[in-house]
Amino acid sequence: MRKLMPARRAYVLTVYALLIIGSISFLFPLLWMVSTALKPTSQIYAYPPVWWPSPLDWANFREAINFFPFWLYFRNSAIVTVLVVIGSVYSAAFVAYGFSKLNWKGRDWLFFFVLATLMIPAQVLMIPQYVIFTRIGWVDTLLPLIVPAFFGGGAFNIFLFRQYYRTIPKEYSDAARIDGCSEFRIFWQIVLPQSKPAMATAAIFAFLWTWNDFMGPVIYLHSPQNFTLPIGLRAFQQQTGTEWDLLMAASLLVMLPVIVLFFFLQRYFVAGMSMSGLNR
Amino acid sequence: MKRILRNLGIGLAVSIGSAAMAQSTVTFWHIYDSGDALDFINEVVNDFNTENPDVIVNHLGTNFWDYWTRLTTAMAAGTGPDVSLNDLGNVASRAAMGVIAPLDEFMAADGVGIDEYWEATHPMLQFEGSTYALPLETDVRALYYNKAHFAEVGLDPESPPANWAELSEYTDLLTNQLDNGRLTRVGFNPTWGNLGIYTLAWLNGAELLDADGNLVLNSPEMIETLEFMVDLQTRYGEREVSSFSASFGSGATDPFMTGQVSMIAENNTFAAQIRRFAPDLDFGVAALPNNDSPASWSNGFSIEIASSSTNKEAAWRFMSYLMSDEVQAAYAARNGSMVGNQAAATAPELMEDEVWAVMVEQMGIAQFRPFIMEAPTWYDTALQPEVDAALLGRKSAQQALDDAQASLEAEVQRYLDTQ
Amino acid sequence: MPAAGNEVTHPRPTSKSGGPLKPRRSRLSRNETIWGWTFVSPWIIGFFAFTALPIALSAWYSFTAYNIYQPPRFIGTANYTVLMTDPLFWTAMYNTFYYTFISVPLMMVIALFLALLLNTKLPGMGVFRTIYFLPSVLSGVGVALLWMWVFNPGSGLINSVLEIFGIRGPLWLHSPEWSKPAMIIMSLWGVGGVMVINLAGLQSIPGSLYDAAKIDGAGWWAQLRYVTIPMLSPTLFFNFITLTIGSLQIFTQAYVMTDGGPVNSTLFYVFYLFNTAFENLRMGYASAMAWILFLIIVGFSLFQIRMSRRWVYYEES
Repeated sequence: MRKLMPARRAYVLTVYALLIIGSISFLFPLLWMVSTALKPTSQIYAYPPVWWPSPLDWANFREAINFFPFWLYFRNSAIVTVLVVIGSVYSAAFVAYGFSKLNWKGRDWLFFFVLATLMIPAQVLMIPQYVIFTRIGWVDTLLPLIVPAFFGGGAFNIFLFRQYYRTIPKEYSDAARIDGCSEFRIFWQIVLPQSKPAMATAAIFAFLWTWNDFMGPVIYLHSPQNFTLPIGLRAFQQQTGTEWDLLMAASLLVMLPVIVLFFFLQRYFVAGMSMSGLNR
Repeated sequence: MKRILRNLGIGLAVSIGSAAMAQSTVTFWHIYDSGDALDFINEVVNDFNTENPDVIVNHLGTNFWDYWTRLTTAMAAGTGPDVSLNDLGNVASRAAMGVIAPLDEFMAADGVGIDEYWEATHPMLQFEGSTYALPLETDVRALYYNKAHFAEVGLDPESPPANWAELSEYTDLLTNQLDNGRLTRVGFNPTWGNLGIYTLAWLNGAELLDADGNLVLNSPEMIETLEFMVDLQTRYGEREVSSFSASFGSGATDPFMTGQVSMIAENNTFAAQIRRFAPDLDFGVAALPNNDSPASWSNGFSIEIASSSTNKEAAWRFMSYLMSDEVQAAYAARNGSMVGNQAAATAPELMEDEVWAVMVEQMGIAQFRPFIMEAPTWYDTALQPEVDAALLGRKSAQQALDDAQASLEAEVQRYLDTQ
Repeated sequence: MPAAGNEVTHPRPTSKSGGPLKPRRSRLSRNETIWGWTFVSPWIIGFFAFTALPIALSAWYSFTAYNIYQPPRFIGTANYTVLMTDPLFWTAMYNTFYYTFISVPLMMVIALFLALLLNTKLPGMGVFRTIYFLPSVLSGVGVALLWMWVFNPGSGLINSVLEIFGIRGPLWLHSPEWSKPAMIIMSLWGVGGVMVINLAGLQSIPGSLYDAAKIDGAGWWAQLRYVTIPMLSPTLFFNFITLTIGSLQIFTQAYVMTDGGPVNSTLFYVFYLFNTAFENLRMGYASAMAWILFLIIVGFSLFQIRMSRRWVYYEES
């Protein structure tokens, strides 16, 4: 190990110390989830709280999976989520290009209009939207959950890409225009490849929201063969009380894909991986 | 090859045959989405489908939390189910809006009378003289008490408190408070379990509706009731009691089951829970102690037919099957549910269980919360915040209920002004 | 024909009579307009297909009495005038603003701090980033229930830890004073998402700027103030706007954990709206509430966008 200068060493130690302290408080609830997932039912509310249950009740995981058609719901969730992620990321990147790299009359007013659609509570739009989907016969299919993502991917993602694009100096796209590139080529071959951090971020958020969304599936899906995982998780919460151990076990399993995805996408917002093409 | 042709031939014959039988479908939505309850409904629906080949019932169970959103959106779009389970407490609102179909003709044709169902449910089932729903299941509350604790402090385990004076006295005897103020056991607290200030008010002889049918929240009996609640809440230190109660769990760690509380008001399904989670607990069940007249609180689920249904006859047949003596008795036996059909609920096999017998007795004197069209959740919006405030010591009982009444009247007025 | 981009290097064309031609929109700018609309067209199509009608309807409903099952009935501005006199409306507004204007600044500061810490190239950062992001991955009803346990005054996580230090923790969700702070603390656990957006934004800052600053003798604070924050400002602006819009619409926590209590201390605006619409079946009244919130958010955002000209720096402008 290289010898570190004292100042540098102090800096590194401070960083790690702060991160570790913070980690503990951030991890606590999760550790509790893991601990509860492994508890036999009798120990769930014991006081003083039991941190390391004994015996470790791994059977909770098996029971949780058998409580509802886990793999069927998993498949449906996967289909919806993957499609929504692809649709959201690419259509948001596409639409945001129009709002940032091109100058045209009415652009900023229209962008504010797009943003404004985030400002209406979804609860009052639920019923009219449901009626629309009923009229076109999409109720009890996965379509209402997937198709809208391909039309811009939501104002949040468009906003995200737009802000990111605007940190990319104009010279790149201007140079390409001079060379005769069409705007589409500029978007696809110059701007988008430089936006990997934004793409990774949008992908993670789209994945997260869709994977955990229960309101949409609850109102649009009426046949158990179409249900998604969040609906399955509800089964643990009955009127008479919550099956905590099974719920935590199932929640941990449901969380895993997102965590894995995040871990792998991280490198896109870490220094050094996002550069391409021209010198910066 | 011959076998393939033969099978094709059979398949063809069957599909032609069933088309000729003109099957109609009935959709049924309910809240039983998992476990024993779902298994039971599956069996019931299968039995009905088998016995009635000209009708197919398709059913969907939705988790209780999400059921109402799913149902409302579907019904708003006109694609709701033919038969749906709903809240027995607000049938009148749907009847008034014309969303559900009146059942009088069907009932008359089948010779079904409303007296087959608990009297407590009658006001809930009817609107302007017609019956609009049937009570699939109800519930009722009684006092559960820990016989071992009673014996421990010198009380007779077979004599639960019969009135408020005894309730108060026994609570003092049963409560254990350490020198530093911390509570390790509390005899009774009316805000725990499944009680509601209105139940206590009925026990104190309060009438929630005045002569004109208006809701009155600040009658002298109500005020007295709230004062009684505040007394029990603050007797051992309000903070101590709040702290103690905020740490309660549910399921196996329910405070009654863990011995933290000696007496608690709970509903009829609680006994089954005790048997499951704390089988060694020596408990008794009795009528709620009253200060004026016996009473209990009942709530429940209705089944209704949508007025937009195109298959009302078949829907009724299924509904009456659900409400039949056999199915209701099986339901009561399997789920411990206090079903709406009185004959089924009072079946001899069920009455052998002494806890059940006590619950049935309570159904005879139970009441439902009054339904107010202009303030459908008045107990949450107008009443509860004021009760909270009084229990926290921020207002006197009189002030709290006067404010609740004012809040209720303002809410009613706001409703009328936006019609 | 000269390529479009070369126009600037050519002399201005003149008319046959020798005078200057009337200035016309250059081909470049007309092209840009066409391209502009082409790129945003997917959003526009989707909007008209799925969103325009519901939005218009909700505006219409706000002037009607609508119980969802029966057709809406026009009642003029009654919903709006009655809302002004509704004490619960004002309580909900107060609760929501309280929550938003405390949790958003806190989130912004903590998220920036964490992103800066985690942007270093020290080993193990990947693990830490995942740890801080994990709580945002949890969502839904199960998590809200988990937090209820964390805030349990008797055996919950927070009070148990406080007791180690000899402090007797408050009743949190059971206390009218501490229920909102509890929810604010709960929201701070979700800071990982904002942190990730900051991390992405930090990538677009060229290292050469930091090098130049160091050569000029800038310490870490000066670097932060003169390089990082200005270059990160588009991202910070994004976070500020989206966090505010999101926080003003807080709902699930009240729905699952507190039912708006105790004593209406967690009666948040959208929760009150939801109950009005789906429990009390007064969709007209709820729609009016939605549009009032909408106008407030629009006003706030317009103000922030105007202010942003002073502190947000866009590389390309």
